[in-house]
Amino acid sequence: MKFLSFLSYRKFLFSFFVAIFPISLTLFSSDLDKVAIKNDFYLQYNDITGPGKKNSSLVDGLRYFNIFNYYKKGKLKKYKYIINLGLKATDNRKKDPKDISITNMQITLKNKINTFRVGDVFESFSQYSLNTALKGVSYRYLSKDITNQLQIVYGIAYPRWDSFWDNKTKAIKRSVYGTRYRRKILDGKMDIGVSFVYSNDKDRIFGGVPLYNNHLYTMDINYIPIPDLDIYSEFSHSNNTKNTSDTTANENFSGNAFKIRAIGNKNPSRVLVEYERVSPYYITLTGSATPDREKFKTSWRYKATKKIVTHIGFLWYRNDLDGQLIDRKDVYRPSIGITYKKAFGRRHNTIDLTYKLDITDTTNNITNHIIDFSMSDRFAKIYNTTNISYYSYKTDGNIQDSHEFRINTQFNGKIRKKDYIFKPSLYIGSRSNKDELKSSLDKYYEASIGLGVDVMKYRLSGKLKIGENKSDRDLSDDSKKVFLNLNIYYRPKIFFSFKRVMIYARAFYNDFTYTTNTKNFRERGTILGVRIRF
Amino acid sequence: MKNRFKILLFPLLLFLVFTNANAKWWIFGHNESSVNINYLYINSLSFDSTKKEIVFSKDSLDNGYLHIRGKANAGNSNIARVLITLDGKKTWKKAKLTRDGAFDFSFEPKIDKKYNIYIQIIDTTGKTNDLEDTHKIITIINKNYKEIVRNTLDHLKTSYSNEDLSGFMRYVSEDFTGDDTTLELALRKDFNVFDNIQIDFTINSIAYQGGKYLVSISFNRTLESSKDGKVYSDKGITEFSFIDGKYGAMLYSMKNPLIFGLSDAQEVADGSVVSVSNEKLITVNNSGDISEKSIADIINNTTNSGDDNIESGSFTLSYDDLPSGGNQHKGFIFDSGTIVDISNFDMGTSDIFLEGNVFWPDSGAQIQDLGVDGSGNVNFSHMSVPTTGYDTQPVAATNNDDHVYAVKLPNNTYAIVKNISSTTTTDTSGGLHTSVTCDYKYRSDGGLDF
Repeated sequence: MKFLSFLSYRKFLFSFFVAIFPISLTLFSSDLDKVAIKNDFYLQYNDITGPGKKNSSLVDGLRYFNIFNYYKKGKLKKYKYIINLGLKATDNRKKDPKDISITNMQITLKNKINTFRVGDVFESFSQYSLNTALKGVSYRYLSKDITNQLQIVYGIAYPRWDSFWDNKTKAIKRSVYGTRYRRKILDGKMDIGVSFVYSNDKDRIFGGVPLYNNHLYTMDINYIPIPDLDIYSEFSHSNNTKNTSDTTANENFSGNAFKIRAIGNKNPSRVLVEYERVSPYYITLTGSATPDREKFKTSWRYKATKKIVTHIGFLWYRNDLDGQLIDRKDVYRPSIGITYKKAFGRRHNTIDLTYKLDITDTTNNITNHIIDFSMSDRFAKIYNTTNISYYSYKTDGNIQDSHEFRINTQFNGKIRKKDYIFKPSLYIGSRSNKDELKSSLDKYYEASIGLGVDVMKYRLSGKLKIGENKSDRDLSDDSKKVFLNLNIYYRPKIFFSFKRVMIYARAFYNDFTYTTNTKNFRERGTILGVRIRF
Repeated sequence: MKNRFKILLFPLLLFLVFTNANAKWWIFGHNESSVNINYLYINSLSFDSTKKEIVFSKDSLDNGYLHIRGKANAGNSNIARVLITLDGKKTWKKAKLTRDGAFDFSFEPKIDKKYNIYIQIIDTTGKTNDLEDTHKIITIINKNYKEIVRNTLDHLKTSYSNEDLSGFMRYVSEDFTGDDTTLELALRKDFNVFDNIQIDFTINSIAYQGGKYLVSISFNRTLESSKDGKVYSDKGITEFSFIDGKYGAMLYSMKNPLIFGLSDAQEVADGSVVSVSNEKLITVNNSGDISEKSIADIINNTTNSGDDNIESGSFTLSYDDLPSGGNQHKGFIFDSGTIVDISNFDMGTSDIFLEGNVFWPDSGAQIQDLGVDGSGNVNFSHMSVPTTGYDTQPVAATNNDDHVYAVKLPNNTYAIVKNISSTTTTDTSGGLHTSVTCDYKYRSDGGLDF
């Protein structure tokens, strides 16, 4: 009753409406076999106590959460159409700033050659030019022999639909116009794409965040000159106008980005070689590139025998391409590793050993060493994975000098007894961190046990996990967390006309204690939900 | 430089060692068969750009069908037949073939069934292609793209919270735009810095097309510093993109604010989400120190020098002759980003302050006017400050728009200040009133590049 006393009349009505809404939709749908409706609704009650309760990531009291998805597929003359709609509702302000919001809205109309989309559109052109979703419209033409493709897109790059109309979720208004033409040549061995993307920012949200006007002219080529060798190259030029604040004059600048990557993939080897150069003044707001970078990367994976695979890698990048900086930064990351399968004559045994070196050559040089060892095996019905890692972090100028050692082992079992499947688990982990500069040693331990049970006959499954972790710190507060999680899922066989129903319940308990008692807090939570598919 | 030479020797040595093994890595294209495939697609995905195992959502099917389309050539001879097996070479089916070697094969896959696909191309002389090159294992899972993305995000969150590096990296694409090895190192540093990671998220918006996903999420998180046990909390909106791969949706790119890989945000993140929901966000600098920054500072750090120790913003300082005969000044402290009152030359409480028409360095700071932004090497967006030429004497503050000043503080840290605008008025009793608005950047680690 205490649980229900938190459920106000208004909240109950709203929750009821949210839960019943998808059912009403199916009743009015005339074409049930082409409609898919899903709804996931749950109520969560949290009780947070203790003097440090403000540090909890949860919200005290009762909250609801609902996800609704509607999908409809059909035919309209010679075109197929798909309608997608997603809605989210919650009164938990930590989960979402709005009570109700649209998560997805899209209408697609297509035949074998033409595709029109309205709503959430994601016409991906290439890495530099366009690699983001928009809320707008798009058109794609793909010739029957797939040798020619034209894409046209317009939209706003808002992270949410309600950014259009709600100040609570306002974002920079980035209008994007783009077009790309791709053609196969050389008997299909080469793909050439040319694209143009224009974006324009409006609505300054925060001072100090620049607004851009960005033109991108990009060409990308994918070439397979000989079997097993794939070469990809992309060149992009950007013309940019940057406005830092309302009172400052615009800055105009332009830059180029270039990338070439070759992948050779034929047993027993896979070799990758990649070079990239992005000038300091190249900006892409709709694609992906880090300005002021020159990068070279290579890796080689070699299957020496059926049991042994070796891999080596090397990454180098630097900044200061225009020589304007005093602290040029060069980063080198070589690595070498070996995987050995079926060691000791054991069928399920796999051993991995890797060494990585991470060097940054700059004013205060950084040298980090990383060694990883892992072994997995199966003993009867128990699977085990053990990981051991050693890290050494050193930055010149007495900025960092520390050593970290990690070890953890995990056992997972699967035991069948008549209609029951038992899944016991055990996890033990430890970490120590020695700071040479502060002469301190911090230690961390974690241990947990779990038991999962599946009862297929009753369509019931559940899992209980109990554990504790502890941090012992030389120079500050120690902390400890005791945790318990219980999850239960039940799938009724037939539930009215629903295709699938899942009822679930979760309970958890977290007890955080610190050396400073005023930071202590406890979280107790229960979740009761139902997931329905029509 | 010597260090660099040693490092470059490393892969060279490895190369020499491994070439002694029977590694025929240099034989790409030396296919003994003369039957070759020019291109090969499964729906919209190129065979060459995907891994051996691919998981498709049922949404990615074309009206329930998968299409295998390609083009083959056989040098001087013609292609006679194209056969496709879906069950690991047990049974073979014929593909539609045209005279120019283009072929097309469609089938209606069953949900959750694994298809072991090989494509055999036979020319008129009986020669065939290398079957292993066409091997793909395809599974269609009974989930729509929203469930697939949700599954990957849940997995990434759980692995990150449990500090399970290999579990996390399993869901990262090898083509991750911020470089997968860089992300892996950033995650290791995150795990070194954070304890008791708790992240909760809900999906705001989701789009899927041609094997790629773009997802916007609202998140809230609580982290404990492993160094001092201090608890940090924040919330905001961010975006991820994914591509189809072995485990469904594989992580392809992330935007600021990051929730994974914060320790190397500049390399890991691609772009930023600028929304009112992103106010104070948790960041980690190069030394592993946790702080809270605005999205503006995160963006400026990322796009300029790339150093996480830079703070930036704007300030307006005023100066007023008081009727009583005294003065009211405003000064600025770079480290905390605060404006302080300085009454009647109460110096020693700021880094710089405005007096009449000039900026005075204060508390042992020194200043120099570098000239107008855009002239010579002066570029407020991307520049280095000099180590010499500073003075304890004042510089012009009013009527000096677009001038950039360099400030050296007594702890050998530097700031740059750009004069945006100023006003000067004189009241009826002859008292002077001035006001100057500036943008600034401050580096707390003593670095010179901004």
